Amino acid sequence: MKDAREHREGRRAAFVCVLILLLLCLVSLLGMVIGAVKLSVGDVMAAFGGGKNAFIVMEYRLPRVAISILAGAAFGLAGVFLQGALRNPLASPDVVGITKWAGLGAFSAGLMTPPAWSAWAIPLGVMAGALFGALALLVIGRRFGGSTTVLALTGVALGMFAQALIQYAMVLFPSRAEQSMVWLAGSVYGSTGADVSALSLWLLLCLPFVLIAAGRLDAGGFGDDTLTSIGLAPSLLRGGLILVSVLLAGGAVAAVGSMGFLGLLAPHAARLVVGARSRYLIPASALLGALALSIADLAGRVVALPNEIPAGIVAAVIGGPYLVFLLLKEKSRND
Amino acid sequence: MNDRARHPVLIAALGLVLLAGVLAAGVSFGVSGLSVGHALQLLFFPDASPESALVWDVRLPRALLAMLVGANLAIAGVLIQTLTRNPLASPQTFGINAGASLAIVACLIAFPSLKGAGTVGPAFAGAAAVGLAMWALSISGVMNELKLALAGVSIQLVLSALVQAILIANNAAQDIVYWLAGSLSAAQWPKVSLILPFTLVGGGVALTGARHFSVLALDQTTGLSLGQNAKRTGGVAAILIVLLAGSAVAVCGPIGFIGLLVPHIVRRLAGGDIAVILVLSAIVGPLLLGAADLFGRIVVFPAEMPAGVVTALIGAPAFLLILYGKRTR
Repeated sequence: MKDAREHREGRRAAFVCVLILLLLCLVSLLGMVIGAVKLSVGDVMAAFGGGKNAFIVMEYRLPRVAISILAGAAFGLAGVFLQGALRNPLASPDVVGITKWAGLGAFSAGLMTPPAWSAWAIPLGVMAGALFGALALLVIGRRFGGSTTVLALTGVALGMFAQALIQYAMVLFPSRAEQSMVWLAGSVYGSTGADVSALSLWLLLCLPFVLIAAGRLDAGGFGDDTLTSIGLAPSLLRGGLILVSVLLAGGAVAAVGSMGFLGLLAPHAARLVVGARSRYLIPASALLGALALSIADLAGRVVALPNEIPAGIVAAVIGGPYLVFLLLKEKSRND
Repeated sequence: MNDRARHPVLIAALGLVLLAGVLAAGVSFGVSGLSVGHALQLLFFPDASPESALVWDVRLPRALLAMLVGANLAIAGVLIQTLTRNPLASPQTFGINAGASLAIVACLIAFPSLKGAGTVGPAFAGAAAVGLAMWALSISGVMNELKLALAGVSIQLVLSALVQAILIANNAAQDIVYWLAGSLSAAQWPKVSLILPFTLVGGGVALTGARHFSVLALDQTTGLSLGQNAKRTGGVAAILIVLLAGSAVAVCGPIGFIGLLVPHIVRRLAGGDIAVILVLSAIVGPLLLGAADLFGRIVVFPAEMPAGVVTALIGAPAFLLILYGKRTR
C-alpha cells in the first residue's frame, strides 16, 4: 500500500518537474527570440550553425538565457537549504540579507584591488560578504531568541545596513556607481560566455556538497533533541546546510548581483506543487528558481521597450507580495 | 520604571541648544567655508555680499528643511507607533514613505510639468493607500506585531523596486540614488514654505489631541469600551500620519529611520507621557536629521552623502536594538 502511494507521489512529482522543464524551455526560447532585433525560431536555430544572426544569438542572448537558468537554479537551491537548515519558511538568502552582504563584498573587493585582479578578487569578496552576512545573522538571531519572524526581521535589517553601505560607497566612488547598481538590484544584462562558464564550473564544484546536503535535508526538519537521539550532530548538520546555501547564493550573486526574493519564492512554490519531501523538493526548487529568473528577465526586457528593467527589480516586484501573502496565510502563532 | 532622572524641560532646553548648534554649523559649513561667527553675523544682518546670499538662499533653507522634515517624520513616527501599538512601526517600515514616493515618481513621469506643490497631492494619495493597506492588515488580527513589521518592510521593498523600475524605464537612472535615499541637496525656500504648513498643522493638532491619543496607547479592551471616541481619534491620527509623512517625502524623497528611532529615544529619555513625547520628538527629530544632513555634507566633502543613506546607516543597527528590546521585554 505504502509503496504504491510513494510510487504515485514520485510519478506525480516527476511529471510536474517535466512540466516546469518544458515551460523553462519555452521561456528560454522566447528569450532567444525577443529583443531589439526580432528573430524567428528558425533564425535562432540557424544561428547556432553560424550565419548573419550568429553574433546576436551566441554572444548576447544565449549567455543571458543560460545565466538566468543557472543563477535562478542556484538561488532556488540556496533557498531550500537555508529554509531547511533554520526550519524557517522565511529564511531565504535574499530575505535575510545574505545576498546584499555578498553584493557589498563584491563591491568592496572591486574597490580594493586593481582591475586586473577582479576575475578572482570579486568572487572572493562575494563569498566573504555572504559568509559574514550569514554569521552575523546567526549570531545576532540567536541572541534574539530565534523565532521565525524575529530572525527574518533581523536579516532584513542587516540587509538594509549592507544596502546603505553600498549606497555610501556609491556616493564615495561615483566612477563605480554604474556597476554597483548591479550589486544593488541584480541583472543578467551583458552576461558573457565567460560568466556562464565560471558559474557552471562553480556549481559543478558545489555539486558534491549539494548532493550530500540533499541527503540530509529531511533530517534538518527534526528538532535538535531528535537529531541528537538518532546520532546526528545538530549544529554540524545545520551549519553544513547553511554553508552550502551560502556557497550557492554567493555564486549566483557573483554572476548576476543580488536578486530579490527568488530564493524565497522558488522553494515555497515547489512545496505547493510537489510536497515537502526533499527528493522532489530540491529538483523542483532548482527548476522553479530557473523559471522565475528567466521570466523576470524576459518581463524586464519587454515591459519598457526600448529600455530594460533589471531582472532583479522585476523579481522583487513579483516576490515581495508573495512574502506578504505567506505572512497572511501562516496562522498567527505568537512567536 | 527606574531611577533615571526625567526632566522633560531640561531635555527640551538641551535639545534646543544642540539644534541651534546644528543650525549654526549648517549655515557656516560648505565649499566656501565661513567662520561660524561670520555666518551668524550674515544670518542676522544680511548684506549685499555673495556670502550673505549663500547663507540666506542656500544654506539656511536647507538647514530649516532638514529640521522640518525631521519634525514631520518624528511626529508621524510617534503617532503610528501609538496607533498600531507596535514599536517597529514607522512611516518607513510600514511602507508609507515608499507609497508616497512611488506616487510622486509615477506622476512626475506622467505629467512632467508637475512642480513642487503639485507633488503633494500624489504623495498624500500614495501614503494613504499604503497606510490603509497596513491598517487593514493590522486590524484583521492575522498578524502579530513582528509579522506586521515584516510585511511592512516587504511592501516598502516592493514599492522601492517599482520606483527604480519606473525611473529606469524612463531613462532617469541618475536620479535613482536621490529618490531612494532621500536627499536635501535641492533645498530652496519654496520647499520650506511647502512643508511648513503641514508641520505646523500636523504638529499642532497632534499636540492639542495628545490627551486623546493616550487612549490609543491603552490596550484593545479599554479602547473598545471607550468606543466611538477612540475610533475617531485613530482616524485623526491616521490622517495626520499621511499629511506629515507625505509632505516630507514630497520635498526630499523617502528618508528612513527617523520616524522609527526618535520616539524610542524620547521614550528612553522622558518616559511615557504622550504630550511630552510629541514635544520632545519635534525637537529630537529635527536634531537627528539636521545632524545626519550635516554629517553627509562633511564626511565625503566636497561630494555629498544623501541624508537618507546616513540615517539608514544609523537606523538599521538601531532597528536591531529595538527588536532586541522587544524580545527581552
